[in-house]
Amino acid sequence: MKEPILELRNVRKKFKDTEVLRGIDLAAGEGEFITLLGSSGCGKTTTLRIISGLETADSGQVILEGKDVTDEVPEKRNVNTVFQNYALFPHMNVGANVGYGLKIRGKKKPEIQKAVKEALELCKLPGFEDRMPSEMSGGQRQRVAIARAIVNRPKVLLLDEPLGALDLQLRRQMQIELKRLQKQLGITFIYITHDQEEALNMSDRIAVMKNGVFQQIGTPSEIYDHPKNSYVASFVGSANILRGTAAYRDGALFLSYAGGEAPVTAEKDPPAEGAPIAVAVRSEYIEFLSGESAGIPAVVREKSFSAGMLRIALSLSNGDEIVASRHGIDSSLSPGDHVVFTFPGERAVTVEDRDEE
Amino acid sequence: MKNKNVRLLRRERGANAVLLGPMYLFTVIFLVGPFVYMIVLSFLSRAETWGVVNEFTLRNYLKIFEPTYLSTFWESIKLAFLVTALVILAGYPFGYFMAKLPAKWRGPVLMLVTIPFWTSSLMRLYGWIVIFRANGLLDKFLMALRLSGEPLKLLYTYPAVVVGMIYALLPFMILSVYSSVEKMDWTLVEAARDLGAGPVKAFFTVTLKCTMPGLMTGVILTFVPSMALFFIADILGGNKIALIGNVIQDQLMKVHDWPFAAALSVILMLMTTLMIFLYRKITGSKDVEGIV
Repeated sequence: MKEPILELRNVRKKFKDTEVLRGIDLAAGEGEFITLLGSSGCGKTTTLRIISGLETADSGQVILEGKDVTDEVPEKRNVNTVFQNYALFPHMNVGANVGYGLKIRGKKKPEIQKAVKEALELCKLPGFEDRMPSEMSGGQRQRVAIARAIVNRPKVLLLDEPLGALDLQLRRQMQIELKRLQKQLGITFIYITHDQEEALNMSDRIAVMKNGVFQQIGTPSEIYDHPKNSYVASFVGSANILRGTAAYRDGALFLSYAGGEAPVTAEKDPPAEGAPIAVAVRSEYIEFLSGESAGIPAVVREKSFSAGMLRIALSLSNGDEIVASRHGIDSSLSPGDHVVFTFPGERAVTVEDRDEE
Repeated sequence: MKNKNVRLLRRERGANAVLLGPMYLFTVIFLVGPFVYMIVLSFLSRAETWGVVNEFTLRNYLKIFEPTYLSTFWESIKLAFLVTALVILAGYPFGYFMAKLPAKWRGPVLMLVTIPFWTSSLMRLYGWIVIFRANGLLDKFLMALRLSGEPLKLLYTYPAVVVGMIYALLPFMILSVYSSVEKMDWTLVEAARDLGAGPVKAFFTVTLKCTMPGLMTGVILTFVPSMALFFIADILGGNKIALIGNVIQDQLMKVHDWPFAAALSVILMLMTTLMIFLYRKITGSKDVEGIV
C-alpha cells in the first residue's frame, strides 16, 4: 500500500471505568472503503468519533495525511461525518445545509451554489435546494446528509451506520449508490455497520471489532473464508463453530466430534493428535450422507425458509445445535429424521477459539 | 361502515362538548367578557364625576396622542427594551448552562430559580428597598469595601427600577431558555463542528437558532410585563418614573377616567399582539411555547 491517508496507532479510550477502545491500529489507503463491523457497544462509533475529533483518545495517535491530528479540534480536520440520525440543521433548507461547510470556510456565494448543485446532483437530489429537511423522507434526508459531507471534498468520509434507519429495499439501493459515489469521488470511506451482508457487499477491507479491539482486518473473502477466530467466523456469515478434538486418518486431519468424524483443514500449524480444536463451517457447506457412511450423526430438529434459503437446524448427540442451509425448498427431510452429515475438508478450517483481547 | 363512523364522530363531539363546556364557559366569563367590556368601555365617554355614559367617542384614543402620554409610552418602551436586553444577557447564559449541568445538579438549581415564586412579588420588592435605601445594605457594603465614600441613594432612581424589573422577570427568561436548550439535539452542534465551524460559530449558527423559540418566549414574557409592572416603578422609583402601567392605574384608581384607562389598555394589548406576531415571523413557529 502507498502512504496511508489515515492511520490509527494504538488508540485507547476509557469512559469512566469502561475501556471502550483497547489499542486500535488501522491504516486506510487513499480511496479505500473500510468497514468497521461489530455488534453494538464494540467501540466502532467511538473509533469514528476519535477520527473526526468529536472525541479525544486517551492515548495513541491519529495520523491524517501524514500529520498527527490526535489533539486537533474537529473543525481543523479534513474529514467529514455522515451521522447516524443525519443531524440535518432543522432551521435551514437543503441548500443551506449542504452549503454550510463551504460557507463556514468563507467561500463565495456563487461558488457555494455551484458546489451545492453538483453535490445534490451526485446524490440524486437535483433541484432540492429550497426544501426543508422536515418535508423530506428518510431516504432523501440520508442523501442530503451525504451531500453535505462530500461537498467539502474531505480526504476521509466517516459514515456511522448511515443506512440503519432505512428499510431493506432502500438500503440495498443506497449500498450500490454509496459504492458508486465512493468510486467516483475517490474518497476514503470509513463505514460503520453491524450488518455483515452490508460489510461484505461494499468493503475493500473489513475490520471486525469486538470488545474494543479488532479481531481481524482483511478483505471480505479473507474474512469470510479464513476467519481468524471463532468470533469472526460466527459473526460474519454466521458459521457453525464445532469444538472437538484432532484425529489423523492416513495423515489427513479429521475432526472428532459428537460421536463422528469429518475432514478439516488446519489454518495454521497442524494440531497434535487428540488436541482440542475449533472448526468453522458455514451452513451451506454441510452435506447429508446417505446410508451408513462415515460422518457425524444428527437429528433434524426444525426447518424454516427465508430469503430463498432453507435453514435446517440439527441437534447433535453432545447437545450442540448446528445449522445447515440449502437453496430452494428441499422436502426430503423432516423434523425427527436421523441423518449423518459431513463437509468438504477444504471448507472446514480450524479457528482460534478465543477472541483477540 | 360510513354511517357508523359518522355516528361515532357525533357521539365523540357530544362528549367533547360536555367535557370542554365548563372550560369554554370559564374562558368566556373571565377572559373574553372582560376583554370585550374593556374594548367597549374605551369608546364610551366619561361621566362628569364618576362612571361612564353610553356615548360613543374616539376622544379616549385621541387623548393618547397628547405629549404627556406619548412620552410615557416612549419611556415605557425604552425601559422595556433596556430591561429585555439585560434580561437576555443575564438569562440566556444562565438557562443555557443550567440545561448543560450534570443531571444531579439540574434539579436543585431549577429549584433555586423557582423558589422566589413561592412568596409574593410585592414582599420581595420590599426586600429591595432594604437593600437600596440610603445607608441600606448596598451602601453599607460598598462603603465597608471603600468602593464608595458616601451613600449612593439608589432607591427611587431609574437604575433601581431597572434592577427591580430584571429581578422580577429574569426567572421567566431563564426557564424558557432552559426548556429549549434542554430539548436541543447536540449532534447538530457536533455536525457543525465536523463541517468546520469553531465553537463560537457553531453556537451562533446552530445552537442559538435552534433555541430561538425559547429565547423569544422569554423576550415576550419580559418585554410585555416590563411596560406594565406599575408597582415596581411605584415602589422602587417613587413617583418619579411613570410607565404605561402607572398611568392606567392612576386613570382607573385616582382620576376615575375608566374609558381612557381602557383605551390605554387596548393599545397595550395591541402592542403585545404585535410582539407575538413578530415572534411568529422570527421563529416561523405557529405556537408560542407555553404561553399562547
